[in-house]
Amino acid sequence: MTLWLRRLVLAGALSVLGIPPLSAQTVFFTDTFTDTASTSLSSHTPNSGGTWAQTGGPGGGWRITDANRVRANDIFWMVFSSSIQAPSADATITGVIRRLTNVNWIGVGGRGNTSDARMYGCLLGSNTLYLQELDSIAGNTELGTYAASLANDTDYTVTLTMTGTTIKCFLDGVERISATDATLSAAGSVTVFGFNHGGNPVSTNTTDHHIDSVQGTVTGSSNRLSLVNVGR
Amino acid sequence: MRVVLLVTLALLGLSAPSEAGFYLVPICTNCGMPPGTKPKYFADSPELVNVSRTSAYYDTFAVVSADLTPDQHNFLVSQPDVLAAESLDTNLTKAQAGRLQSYLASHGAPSPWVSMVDTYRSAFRRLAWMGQVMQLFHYRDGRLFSGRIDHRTRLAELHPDYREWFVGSAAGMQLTVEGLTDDTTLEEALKFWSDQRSHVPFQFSGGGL
Repeated sequence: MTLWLRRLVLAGALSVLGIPPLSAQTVFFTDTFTDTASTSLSSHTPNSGGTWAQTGGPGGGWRITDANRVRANDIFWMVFSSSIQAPSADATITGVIRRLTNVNWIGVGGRGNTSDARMYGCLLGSNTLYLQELDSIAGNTELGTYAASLANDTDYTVTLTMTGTTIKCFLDGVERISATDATLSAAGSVTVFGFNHGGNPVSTNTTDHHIDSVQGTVTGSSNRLSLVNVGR
Repeated sequence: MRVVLLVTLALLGLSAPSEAGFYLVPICTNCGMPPGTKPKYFADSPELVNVSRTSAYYDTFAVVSADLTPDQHNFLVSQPDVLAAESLDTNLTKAQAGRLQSYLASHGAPSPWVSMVDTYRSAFRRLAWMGQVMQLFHYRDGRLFSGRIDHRTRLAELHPDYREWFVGSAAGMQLTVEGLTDDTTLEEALKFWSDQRSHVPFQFSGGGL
């Protein structure tokens, strides 16, 4: 029995048994921020193509670091949205955040608007993980927080999942915040954002929280996907 | 079953799994960092710094789920503008319903929603879901209840744009809007929609309402 036929039979058997098909994640956006040091994020091209555009906050920009990460470069809050839209509102955004020192706040978001700073985001800083509905017009809303014990010089994986009105933040793969919010229902872009308190020092290549990579995925059916490349 | 679990854990020298408490807490706008609307006291009181919480907002107050220590709980409920849910799933006593109605009335929410046929769970769930309608409205055009608009305002008295956005916010949440008339008050509309969601769980960290 050929591979594709076996998969088809398996899918049928699972369906008869009432077991949903295994789901697979389809990556629609990736950026590892690999570029020349000091390149501005607006001039940087993500691995999956497209561009980053600043959609919130005053000037100042973000910069690629000498370790191929991205960091804030000013004392203000800032939001950048990717030009590539998620194919579905139900999406997962995963960021790896390097905490060099604890100074300001940085995060990754989804369902972002490419014209203004409206989105859901998971934010790391001050030994706390935050889930926010960010809105530069109506104002931000804190949906939840999780008190974490974070160490310097450590990578943390922060994951935002958006399924209908259920919005969650995971820290290193463990669900930490789960909330209900109906404000943003449309598919949108991947975002990176940060807050820099006016009294805090500006990030440098060796201080603060930096984003090492960000990825956007949506869930698809592995049965359907597995038939795409069998090459009959 | 929970008693058996607690005894088993005690015999094993383990602590019981904590259960989050639910509270009604006034909101605080842009207090502390990162900026945003947050529940008061959680945002700015040393007693509650770094407490994990989840919030759903209803205009001027929030339904907050938080796993507090006894000291933190006592601090929070000692605040005059905070109300804590007691047993979530037993019907409200006359005194509890009265306290909840007073809280809602003093915070601009329709108090007739709550009666002794409610539990804290059903009452808080209604508030959380209806807060979503107002969050959607807020997203489009700021606060609904401001100026001359209150819960007794009839739909016909709203500016046509406001009416469209208000009803559209509910429709956007797949709530039924047929049956509303010009004479329907905002309170009646919110009650009508909250009835449609009264049995739909509302997700918070560590569980829901």
